[in-house]
Order: sequence, then C-alpha cells, then structure tokens
Amino acid sequence: MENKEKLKAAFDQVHAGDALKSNTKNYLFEHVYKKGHVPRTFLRRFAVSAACSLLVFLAGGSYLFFTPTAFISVDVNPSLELGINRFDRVVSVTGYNEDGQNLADNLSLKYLNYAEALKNLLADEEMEVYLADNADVVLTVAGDNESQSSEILQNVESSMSEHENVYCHSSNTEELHHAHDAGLSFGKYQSWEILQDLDAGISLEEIQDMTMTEIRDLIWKYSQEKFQENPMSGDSENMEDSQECPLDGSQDSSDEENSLKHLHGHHGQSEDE
Amino acid sequence: MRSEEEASRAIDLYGDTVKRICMLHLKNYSDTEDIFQTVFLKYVLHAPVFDSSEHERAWIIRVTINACKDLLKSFFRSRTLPLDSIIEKPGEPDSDYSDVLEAVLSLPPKYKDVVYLYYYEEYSAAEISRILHKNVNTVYTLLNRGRQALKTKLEEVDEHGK
Repeated sequence: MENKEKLKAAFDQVHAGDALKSNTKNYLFEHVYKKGHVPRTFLRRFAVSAACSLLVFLAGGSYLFFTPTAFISVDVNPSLELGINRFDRVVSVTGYNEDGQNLADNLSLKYLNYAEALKNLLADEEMEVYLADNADVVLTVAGDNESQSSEILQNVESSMSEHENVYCHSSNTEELHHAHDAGLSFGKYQSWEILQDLDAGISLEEIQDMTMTEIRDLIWKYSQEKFQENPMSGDSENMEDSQECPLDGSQDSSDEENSLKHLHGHHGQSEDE
Repeated sequence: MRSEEEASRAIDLYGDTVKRICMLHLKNYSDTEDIFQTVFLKYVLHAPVFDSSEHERAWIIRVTINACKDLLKSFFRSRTLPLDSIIEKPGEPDSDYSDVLEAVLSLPPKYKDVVYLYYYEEYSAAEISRILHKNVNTVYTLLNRGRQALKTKLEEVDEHGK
C-alpha cells in the first residue's frame, strides 16, 4: 500500500529535538539525581518526628526530675532548705539567711540522695563551727505527697540517730509556702509561730539570725512565763501540731526539750483529768 | 531507581517515539516537554526490570499515551485556552509528506493511536490490544474505521491538490 509507505516516511520525519532531549535530561538530573529526594524526605520526616518525641521526652523527664516534691529544712543558725524530687534526690539548695547562703554556695549537695546530702552537710567543716557547743539542729520535712514525706522523715530520723541534738518535724506544704513568703526557712518559721502564740513579740527579722538553741531557749522562757501566769490554760496546740521527736538522750537541751514536752503534752492531759 | 546513564540512553532511544505520540495528541511544545518529563521520570522511578527491549518500548508507549490523556483531561486544560492557539503560528516546516501527517492528525483521537501503532510501529493487532488494554476485535474495528477515514481524507487532499 502506497499510503502506508507515505505514512511511515511522514512519521520518520518527526524527531525529538536535541533541545527537548537535553531539557528532559536536565530535568531528571535536577529533580532526581542531584537531590536524591525520595529517600531524603523519608529520612527527614523520621528525623523530625524523632527529634520532637525526644524533646517531649526530655521536657517531661526534666520536669519530673527537677520539680521538688518535698522539702527538708535544716536550721541551726544557718537556715538551709533542700528540695527533694520524687526520686529522692536533692534538686535545690536554698539558703535563707547569710550563713545559710554561704553554706549553700560552698557545699555541693545537689543530685545526692537526701540522706547522703544531710550526712555530708552535718559532717562539713564549715558546719562544724555552728554545731560546736551542742547547738540544736532542727530538721523539718514538708511535702504534698504524704507517703513520700513520711518516708523521708523516717529515713532522716534513723540516719540522724547518731547525731546529738537533732530534732525532726514534719508539716504540710501550706505552712511551707507561708514561710517562703516570709523569707524564712521552714523550721524557723514554725518556731516563730510558736513564739507568736506565746506573745513573745519577736519579729521575723530577729528570728532570722538567731540560732535554734537561742530560739528554743526563748520558747522555753516564754512558755515558762505563760505557764506561771496562767497555769491551767492550754497553750500547746501549736506544739502538738508539729510532731516533735527528740532523737537522743543528750543532756542540756534535750532535757529542756523533754520538759517542754512534759509541759505541753502532759499539761493537756492533766486538764482532762 | 535507574541510573543516570540508563535514563539518558532511554531518552536517546525512545525520544523520537515519545515525540511522535505527543504530536498525535498535543499541539504545542511546552506540553510535549511536560510529557517527556513525566514519562522519563516514571521510567527512572520504575523499579521492575523489563523482559526485553520490546517490552521496554511497549511500556514507554503505554505510559506516553496515558500521560497525554491525563494531560488532556486535566481540569486546568479543560477550562483554559493556551496562548499558542490564539497566536497564529507558522505550521510545521512543509515537507513532502505533510499532507499525510495532517490527515493522520485530523483523525478522531480514538483512531490515531491504533493507526500509528499499526502502520508505523508495525505492531500486530494482538500486540496493540495488549498495549492499549483493548479487545483484539475492538482494535480491528478501530483500525478499519481509521483506515477508511484516512483514505477519504487523503483522497480529499489529492483532489484539492489537483
């Protein structure tokens, strides 16, 4: 068929121009070979999602780790407060007066277990100066999580049993916040509240730089006065709120302490009788 | 994925075929360029190995025809008018066989592929039916009607020429 030959010849004349071919090659080179974008988009997506989840994980983890859930307040004259996270590690050390600030700066207690941190603290050379003369040490544990704070309290009591003149309390976080607002450590704030009840007329500033022994003496003195003035009135609600636990049979101050307890605890009982 | 060497070999080898099919369906250069990019991108990303070069050629033809159809039925194209169709352009360089070419191009779209594959690529009706995914008898019918239409067109041209 003649037409068939013509048709073939006609189509034979049609060629893809060199420009068309090289454009297509360039296009493939730019979009496929240069970037290799098929595997990379997948990799990039994976990397982005991995980075995001890592970020969330880290943020959550560090929130859990760096948020204190309980506080141990250490008062001698220097007032220190240790923030304890849920893994029983010390995550913050705050000094509430000048001596406490110095101690907090010089000691490295962070990220230790709280029992270890307390041991290090009481064994420290600088601390020894304050602990001379059988000074009282008051440890106050406070936290939102009751089981954790009672556990801490127990551990602290047992690990401190070898030390003399160590007194342990526990309390709730509400009072802790009041204490922080007042710029005092928790142990001292509690003592101040007791003094307020005894009408001692002592300001927070004065309390801040007194040693715990001095404060205890004051409490003792005022409660004695009050007892003499009004032997039948119960002035001990506050002391009963905070459960005191003298740990050792050390002489002077714990005698005081015992007598205080007698004064308050038994007083109420005799009233009942 | 195929290597760059394979891609440029395929472009050199099948470029003319793709261009001819594009010419059957499309009217301007930029669309042809689009089809070239689509077809050879698909070729490069196409993982399976071809049984033979014949298989490869058939695959290229199939992909090109589909790409042309896709381009023609796209929404943008159906609602707009290319600038080329408004501006009067000098046609393809005149040649001895331009009348035949014109006659083929003026055929209804459904006959073009069959006529091209049968007369130029010299595929059998059975092969065409596989490439176009059509029944063999359908291919015969399309072929016959296409041939008739082509014949009348060419006779018309001849008469005009005379």
